[in-house]
Amino acid sequence: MKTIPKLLPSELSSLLAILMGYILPFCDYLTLMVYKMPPHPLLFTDFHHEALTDRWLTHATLAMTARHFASGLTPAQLRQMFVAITRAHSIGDESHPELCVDLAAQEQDPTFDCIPDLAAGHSTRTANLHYGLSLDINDLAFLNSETIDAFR
Amino acid sequence: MAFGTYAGKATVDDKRLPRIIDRPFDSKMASAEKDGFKIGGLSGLESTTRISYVASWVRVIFTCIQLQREKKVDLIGRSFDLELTMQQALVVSSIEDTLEMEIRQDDASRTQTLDDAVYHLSYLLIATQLSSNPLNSPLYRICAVLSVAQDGTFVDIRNYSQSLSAIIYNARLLWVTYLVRQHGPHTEWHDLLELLEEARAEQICETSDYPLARLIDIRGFAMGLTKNLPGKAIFSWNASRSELTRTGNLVIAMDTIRQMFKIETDRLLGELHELFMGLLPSLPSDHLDQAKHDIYSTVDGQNFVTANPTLYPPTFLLKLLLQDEDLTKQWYNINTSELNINRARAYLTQVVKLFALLAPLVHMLGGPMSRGTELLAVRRFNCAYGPADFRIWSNHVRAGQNTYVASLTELLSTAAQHHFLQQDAK
Repeated sequence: MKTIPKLLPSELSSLLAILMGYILPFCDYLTLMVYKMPPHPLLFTDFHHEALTDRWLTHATLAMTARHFASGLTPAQLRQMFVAITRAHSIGDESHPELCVDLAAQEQDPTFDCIPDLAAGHSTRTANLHYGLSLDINDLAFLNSETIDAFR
Repeated sequence: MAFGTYAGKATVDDKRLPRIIDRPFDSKMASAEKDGFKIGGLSGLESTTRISYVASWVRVIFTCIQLQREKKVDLIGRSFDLELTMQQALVVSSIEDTLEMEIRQDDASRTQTLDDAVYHLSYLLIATQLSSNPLNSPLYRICAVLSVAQDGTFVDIRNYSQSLSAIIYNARLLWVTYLVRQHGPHTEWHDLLELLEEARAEQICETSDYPLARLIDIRGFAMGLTKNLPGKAIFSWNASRSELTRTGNLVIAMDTIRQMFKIETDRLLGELHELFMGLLPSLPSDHLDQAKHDIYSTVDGQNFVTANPTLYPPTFLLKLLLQDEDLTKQWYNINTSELNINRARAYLTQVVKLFALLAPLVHMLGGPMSRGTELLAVRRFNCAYGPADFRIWSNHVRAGQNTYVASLTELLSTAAQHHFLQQDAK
């Protein structure tokens, strides 16, 4: 079983609470009257078809990040980035041993999963295979003196 | 130097190094074309124009092609299927000739000729569109081809992460060439790594005006992590003191996100208030604060909506709506007592627009980044598929998959609460 809690900041909690407590019940009534459909159990719906899709979330995230970062970032890119950053932050961080990515334990026991990886919804083995490992400076090893001369 | 990304808008200040590259070419290239392809020389990547950056980039790519032809290094895999037009092929040929001349003797005029030719080729490479996707230019494909596979070959443009890696890879190549040029050809490998760190720290410091650049730096840095090394931190460079200090990369990321969070939360609050008060103009202005207080008074671990049927009756807004005569006329046909369908649809559309702001914020600020599918699967009330996924947890609404593991949840919630309490205290 996986637990993927999302603990929201207080301001966002308030927004979501008011939305769910007051506005969405009214939307359910409107949905029934306009589209003759019962309320959808999922939070993010368009009220007359079905749950909003990944593509919708991608566009929404792209639009929001484009406003603030000058360029859009997709949820997948953000996830890749944050998981890698979190892992980098927690590897070897002795002040928070419970959150530390214990590479030695992972090497000894491939089924070992550290908390940051579990919280992100995947195993440590998956994280080692897929996150933060795309390219390293070592991949430039083919840049020997001969090739560097050629670049100049 | 800059890490590049191929999407989105870019801000360019010619007085500084081109920090953010969306595509290597843009209208600036077109305007430069009118000036007769004058690029000011390729003497070094320290040149302050984007054009020279790209021209140098192309030069790197071209060198790869040349090396492959000379079979010194097997750089280009079988997926290298770039088709040059006749015009491009002619320019490539002229560059080849000029390069050979340059190797034999260093002639300033020939270097200038080479610069012009490389720039010309770079323009042609980007001006050709290979498919309906405007990004799919020959230059882009070359960059994608430069992605490295595990067996040392280069892979085709199929996977977005490989394409992104390729662009970062190219940026690193340019850094290496830049630094080697700056510090001489006999720079040792470990010295080069030190120089890279220093240059990156300078860049991070100087690009602090651009949140994207900071994120790109972090992403590029994160993608270059080696799992067997202890944790690294991003350096920050203090120009006045000329010293390097380490900054937790998570802190920088959170800082940027929080800046965005502040703006978007204010906007969301405004829109929600407008949505709410647009329906209930007679509602006391302090009602929202009272509602928040009521919500926070809910017992931990309860679904606050269903646990408080008196506070949140499903017909709460509807009853208030019917109490207001003007609103009733606006929402209902008085003669037939039927709902104004157009008004209702407009209201629902507005709520969906609100979702488009809310969902990314929940996604980014709710703690560990989940996948999009996990966020979109959050249930708001009990149904046949399972119980609702929202809980009040010490004044925070907790949304998430409802499979419960006590120790893990408790630990994470405590850690996250501690984090947010610290932020609130600041």
